[in-house]
Amino acid sequence: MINVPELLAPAGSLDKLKVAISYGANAVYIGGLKFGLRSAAENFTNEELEEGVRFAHERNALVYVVLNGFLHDSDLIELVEFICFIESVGVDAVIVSDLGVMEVIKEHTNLEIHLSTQASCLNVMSAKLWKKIGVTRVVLGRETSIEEAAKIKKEAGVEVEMFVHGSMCMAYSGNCVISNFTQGRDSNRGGCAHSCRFEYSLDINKSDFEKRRSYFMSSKDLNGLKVLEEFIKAGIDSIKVEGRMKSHLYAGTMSKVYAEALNYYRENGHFLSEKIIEWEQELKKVTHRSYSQANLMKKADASTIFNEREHDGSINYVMVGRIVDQVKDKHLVVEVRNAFNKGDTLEILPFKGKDISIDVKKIYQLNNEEIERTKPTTLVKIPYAPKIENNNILRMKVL
Amino acid sequence: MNFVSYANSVHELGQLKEAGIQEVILTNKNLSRVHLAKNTIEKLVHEAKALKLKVVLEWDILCTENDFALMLQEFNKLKVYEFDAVRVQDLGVLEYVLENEKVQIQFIAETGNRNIMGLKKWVSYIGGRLDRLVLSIELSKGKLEEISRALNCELEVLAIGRILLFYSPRKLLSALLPEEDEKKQKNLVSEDFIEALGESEESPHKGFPIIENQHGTFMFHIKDLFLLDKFNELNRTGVENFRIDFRHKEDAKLFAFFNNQTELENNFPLLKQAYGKETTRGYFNINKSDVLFKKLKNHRIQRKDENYIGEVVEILKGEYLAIDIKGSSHLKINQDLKFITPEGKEMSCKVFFLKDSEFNNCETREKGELALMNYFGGIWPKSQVYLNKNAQG
Repeated sequence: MINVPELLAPAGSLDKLKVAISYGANAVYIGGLKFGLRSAAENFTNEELEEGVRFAHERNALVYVVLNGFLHDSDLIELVEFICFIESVGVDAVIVSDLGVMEVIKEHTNLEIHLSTQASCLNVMSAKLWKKIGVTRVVLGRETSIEEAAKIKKEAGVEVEMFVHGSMCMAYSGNCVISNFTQGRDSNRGGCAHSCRFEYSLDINKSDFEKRRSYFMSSKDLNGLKVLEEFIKAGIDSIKVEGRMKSHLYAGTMSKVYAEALNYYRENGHFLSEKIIEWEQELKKVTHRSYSQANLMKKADASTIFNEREHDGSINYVMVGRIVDQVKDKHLVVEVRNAFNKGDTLEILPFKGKDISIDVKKIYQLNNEEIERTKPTTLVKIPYAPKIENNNILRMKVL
Repeated sequence: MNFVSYANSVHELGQLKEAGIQEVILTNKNLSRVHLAKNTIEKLVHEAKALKLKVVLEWDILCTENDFALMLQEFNKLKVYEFDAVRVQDLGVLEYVLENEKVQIQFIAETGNRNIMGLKKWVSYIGGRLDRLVLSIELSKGKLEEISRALNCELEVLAIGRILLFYSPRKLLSALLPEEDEKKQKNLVSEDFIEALGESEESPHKGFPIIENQHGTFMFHIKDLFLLDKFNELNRTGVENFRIDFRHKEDAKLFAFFNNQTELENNFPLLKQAYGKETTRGYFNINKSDVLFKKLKNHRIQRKDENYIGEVVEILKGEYLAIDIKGSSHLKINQDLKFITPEGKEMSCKVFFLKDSEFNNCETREKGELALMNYFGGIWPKSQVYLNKNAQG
């Protein structure tokens, strides 16, 4: 068996944690109600966190908790109780960017500390410094190439984690305070307003160029699938998918595709181009900006600028719901997220293996009254199909 | 109160000296984010030394491993021992200088570093080699005061100058120049420095200064920071060093306001008038940039763990409520429940019947199962369901 990196998936809520792990993630990163960078995410209450850790460990998966906000002194007082709690429930590591937070963690717990990408660790000497301070893994800045990451791992002697997929900050992480000064929301404490995605008119060099309207700070999304073999050969310890704010469909699809790809390589020692094409097609079925490899193989150039308004025009699949219950040979119960009609063809994503296509011949309300069309936030029954498990995601092609 | 500033030419060094400024920061094209010097760094060091100024080299670029190797070549060409200190932000650079040079270090702790515990650790890590900590402008005067009381080292904060909002290694302006207009493009890029003003579609944010150079793209606030009119409050913070950054102003007259050290308090309001650009105090008075967070999500649909049953996932008017049981408490016939709707309304209701998804009657339903119970008006999907312990006495 060939060693492949850990697949680390985002989990913005307990439901998404279950989705990500069920679809093959080896580890998830989650946030408590405070101290992270995603204040608008659902995040985890303490009981959800405990349940999430139990669910993960029963399936040999790991849970990392993000504590990567730039915290103030008053936060550090509250932090002590939280870190003692997460240690007691068996959280596997914490992801931290602030030295003060690290000091508190080291003083009060034996939790393993991973350095957040927020700290912009980009080179060997920086990784060596953090190792001395007590970090066991560095999540490298997204400006680092795979080749540089391999050198950092070898020469600094720490585990390295790299982003493989998802939205990108255009700025060095932690070095953007546009939200802070224009919206009064501290981006480095969870309040990022995504100002980099806005349109700007630019007057360049006071030249005779007319003012340009541009999304010049908006980056294309990262997609490292095609260079997965490079991550493996470089010995990268963990590949990370961005997106705690993203949907269940995103968490499930990313976990399934990358887990399948890593497992394929583990068993076969190579990739086949047709498999890569197949996985790429799957990745295109979730909402995304145009993809690029950003800095993975060479420095990100002009082609990595998205330069478009955020829109849903690229969506060609929607999540219509998830299986919440089933009675063998009778029916599947679907929690509906987006409406579908009798006669539609749905794709069910099993936790492993190929999608299952089903033609919806009949739809019933739970009281067995037959209906023609579903509505969001309802439960409906559709005819039973085998090999489907609770929490499987259903999606549908949008014409 | 000591002032620190930049000099781009021998002439400016003279101006600094005349203004009583005793410390100068010098930049290097390959090591510094913004480099506008008209004389070589060797000449500027020589002249600054002759004027008996404290001379500091700024290496504030963040660098990936490959860039680091190139920058190191440039750094090693300099006579580092001639500088009184090197100011660094990248922690790899910090570690390198600590391990390989003897020069004193000014550590730029402007990104993050909002708590005393972390700052103390940096002070102890750098040890005797620490010349100064450069603090974030997002720290309020109260916090600066606390920090200066807690730390036994020199501190510095920006007092006048541009507020850097965004630092990217990507070249974002040249990417917009039309390929077909090669001549203009060449003209703009040949100086390796492109400037722009940006207007956000989000009014009223208009006129962000943006520059692109070999190190990437930098965007600044529409207003500059100006704290010197708060002379007494600055003094009370206990911070000893204040950075004056006039590099973008190119106005030789501005340093003259510092010439008479006994009149500074009176001169600074005049300087503000002469500054010629809108200014802000930023977060100097108070930093409340996290108070909006609680509005970013609906806390009413966030579960509280005690007595939690689950979430309403469907309502069929007049027939049933469907609950996804997520908590560890079982749902049973005759229990009293409390519902909290997404709008925050609290309602109570008794369980008269329970069914599974096949409409079979049940006595109890548990975690991971769906439960259908009697309909109750005013409840919406996503309402959170709790055992109503009070009602059960």
